[in-house]
Amino acid sequence: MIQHLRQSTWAIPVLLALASLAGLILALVADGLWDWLAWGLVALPVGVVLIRMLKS
Amino acid sequence: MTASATRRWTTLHRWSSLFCTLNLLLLSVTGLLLIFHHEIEDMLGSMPELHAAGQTMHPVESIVRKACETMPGWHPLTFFEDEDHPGLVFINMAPAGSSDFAAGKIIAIDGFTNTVSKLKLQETFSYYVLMLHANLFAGFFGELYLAFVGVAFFVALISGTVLYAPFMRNFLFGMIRRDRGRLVKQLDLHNLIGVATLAWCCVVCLTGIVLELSKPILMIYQSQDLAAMTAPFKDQPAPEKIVSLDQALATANEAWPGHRVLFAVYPGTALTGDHHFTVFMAAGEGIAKRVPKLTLVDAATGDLTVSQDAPWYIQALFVSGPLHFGDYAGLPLQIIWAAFTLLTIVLCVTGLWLFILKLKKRQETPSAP
Repeated sequence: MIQHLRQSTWAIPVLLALASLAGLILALVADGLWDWLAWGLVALPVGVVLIRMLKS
Repeated sequence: MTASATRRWTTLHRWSSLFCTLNLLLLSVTGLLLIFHHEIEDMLGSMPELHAAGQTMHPVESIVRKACETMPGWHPLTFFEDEDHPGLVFINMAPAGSSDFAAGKIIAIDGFTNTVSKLKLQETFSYYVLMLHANLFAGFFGELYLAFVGVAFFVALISGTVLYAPFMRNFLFGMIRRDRGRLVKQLDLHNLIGVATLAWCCVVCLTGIVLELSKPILMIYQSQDLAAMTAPFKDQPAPEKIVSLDQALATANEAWPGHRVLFAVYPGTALTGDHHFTVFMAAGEGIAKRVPKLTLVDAATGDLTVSQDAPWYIQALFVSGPLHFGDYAGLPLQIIWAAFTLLTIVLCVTGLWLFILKLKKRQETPSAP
């Protein structure tokens, strides 16, 4: 699945962009438990970069 | 994309990036410090200790009077209570005859004891870092210059994204080729970081531009919305005696129940006109915490003149602050913000390195097209 997504030029970049935007807005409008989801979403691009740097 | 289009985008990416790289490095390092400015100030012991337990605040008017007694001849422009240190009140004082916010001195007062705090907000470490970050100690011109840097950064982000597609057409996402020389490795790293952090960089870049343009935005407010709201008062002389700040805040609290005072601006400034207090009120949670409500209180009578949502561009200005500094959802978001900032530094350095490596390569093979 991930291998398939990686073949597409834009699939993962678009997903990462949507995740960070959703997280940024969620953190702004919601509090409490939602913050955890927001942190996860915003942290996703950083995590992906770190994983790729370690793997290759 | 045709070869000539790629060349044009490459040129655009190269020059827009080169222009903003060194500026961005400075902004990233100072920004990194600003993300943790609360923690740094606490560590440095700059923030005064308040003895809040079981105590009530003095009436705000007596706190303002204390500030005026401490600085004879000066008058208050703005009043606000520190959100993170309840009871700590900041009053921006201006010398006689001036109503320029930037020229004012901010005095800090412990609202529980009504004593002047030793804290000099404009002499703290964070304040100097903020000035370096926001205007390079060059006032409004510094702000305009950095807004232009922001525009160049945005152009670099967009042109970089356009160029990402032809580079990556035949490759897997996130590949880093370590066995093909320095240039290829740097290029792969630059592509990966650039595309992964794109949305965050766009948000921080655009909100940064909005914040740098806050002075022109407030001028628009002054000449458009504020002028329209205060039109009936236009021909009246400025009131000789104004009501107490307590009364103005009580009127604002009545207009917006369940809200807290974010900050109040005195009559006679660019943000209020001569006849009104302006009070910005924020709700306790959700987006309304970030987008304050606007209240104009008649300074002569203490009556409510206007209570409504702030104009959309003022709302945008308010929302840009947290979205730029990342200080709006706890320490985890601050740490994520710092991680993105570090990646931005790597993005700048790899980009600059790529430019230098390519330049060297071109010098070594001068006959190449």
